[in-house]
Amino acid sequence: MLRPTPEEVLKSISWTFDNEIRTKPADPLAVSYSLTVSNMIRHVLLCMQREEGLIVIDTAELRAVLAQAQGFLAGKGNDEMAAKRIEDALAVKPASDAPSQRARENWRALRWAVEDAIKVLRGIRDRFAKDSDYLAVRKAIRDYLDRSLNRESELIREAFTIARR
Amino acid sequence: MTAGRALSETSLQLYFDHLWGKGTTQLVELTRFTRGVSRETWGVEIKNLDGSNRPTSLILRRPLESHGYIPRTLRFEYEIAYRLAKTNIPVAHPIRYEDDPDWAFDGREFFLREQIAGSWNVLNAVDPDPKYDAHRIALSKEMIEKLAMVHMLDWKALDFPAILEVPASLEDSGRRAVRETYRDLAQFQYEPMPVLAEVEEWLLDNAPPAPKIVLLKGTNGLGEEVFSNNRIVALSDWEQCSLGDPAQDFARTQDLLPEIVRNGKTIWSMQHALDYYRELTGITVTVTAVDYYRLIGCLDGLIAFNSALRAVVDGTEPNIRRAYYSVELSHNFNRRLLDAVYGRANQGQAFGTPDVKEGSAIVAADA
Repeated sequence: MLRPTPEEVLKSISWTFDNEIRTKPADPLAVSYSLTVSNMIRHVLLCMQREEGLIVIDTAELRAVLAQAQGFLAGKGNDEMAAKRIEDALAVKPASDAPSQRARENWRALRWAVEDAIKVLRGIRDRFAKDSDYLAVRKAIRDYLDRSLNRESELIREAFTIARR
Repeated sequence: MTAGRALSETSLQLYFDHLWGKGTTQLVELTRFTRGVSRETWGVEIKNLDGSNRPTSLILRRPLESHGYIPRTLRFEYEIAYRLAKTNIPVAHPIRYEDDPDWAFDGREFFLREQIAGSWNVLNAVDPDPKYDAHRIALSKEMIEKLAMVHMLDWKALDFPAILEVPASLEDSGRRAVRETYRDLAQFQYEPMPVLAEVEEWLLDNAPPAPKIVLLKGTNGLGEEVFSNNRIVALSDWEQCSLGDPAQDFARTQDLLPEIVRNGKTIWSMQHALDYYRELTGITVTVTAVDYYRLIGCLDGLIAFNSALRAVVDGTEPNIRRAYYSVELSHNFNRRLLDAVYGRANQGQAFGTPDVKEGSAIVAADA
């Protein structure tokens, strides 16, 4: 859901038509590119139809899992700096004017925060290997990643179930 | 001098005059190969006018104008080739690495090597028709024999430690592969990749001990080597060369380690391949270790696709294939990695056997 954005995909389609397809459309490589273009147009269409809603759901889950990690790190985890970084990420108000752009920007910032949280939590695992709160945070993050990938598959599965390159 | 000039027959002829002396060489043809995904590759045909026996079919390699898939330098590739040229491994011998800014075309370094006649493709190599079974098994053995040759090299004597990280021990071998991959990512990561952050710990914890530390070719098999008359005449594409567990090379073999079952009997499989390899080398590689390195293959793939996507993001080469890799294949690889750590663990499996063939085969087709 992050990269390439629909805009980047459309620019790629335009570039590929001009540079790889239009000048030699019968070439096997151009035919292969055409199939990739077809797949990717379907993917962009799915993104236009569903991505915004999926980002809203994903963002809500991200915020919940980050709040859980922040709570653990501020308390038992005893890592104020890491907890503060998460707190700051949760408080950020994206600056973009367009609502969809703002939602994506916010989601991206929270994904960076969860990546950071994972690294911090990994770093203290020896101290908390049997701590139920620690294990619950780790599991919550994995559960989130699993569901997030399932959501992402909604933008991919249908788009790529036609003739392949 | 050619600084600032575009690569052309005229400018390259000037370079040859500088390199070998005016009137010694005539450039006949310069052709760009269009499918390179990590380097810009040109075929160069020359005629020797001075009676020299220097190769007349050459390859010129230089960095892409945009970003490559494999985040390794051109110099690294040359250093590998330079060392291998001293061995009996079939490789194209390097001729010259040019990093003098006065002689760089378009401001890009390049190197010249000989061109080996042959094809990346082999007829019927992946045809499942039973009449090609013997052919496919023979090709598989050919690949294994060549990997065995590489793995038996004395890499210390060839000074590979000067350019490759040496695992601290047999137990450290898999962890070295993980570390190296994450180090590659750290060079250019521009998007959050929380799945990779999550699985790193598991990959480090579950790395199998290597039976022996060997020189690894990296991506190999169909699309990566030069074939002639069903034999490998040059092992090519060494950008992922490293030191480690031989299982890693088996995990990265494209199309030439098929599973063939006839009348309920398996006549060729990964286990058959590993048994044949043990006959040649005395080294025992397990299927479990190969499965582990397939996961590392997913990791490598994700990082390569992310590297490739930079050219879409910054607009230097917004090729649709680069965008595609970062959508479907990246999703699949993330899914397989997370399953290994999370989903499969819930199902009581140590780790799974993700099929990286899909991604690697597509990259090979573009190569």
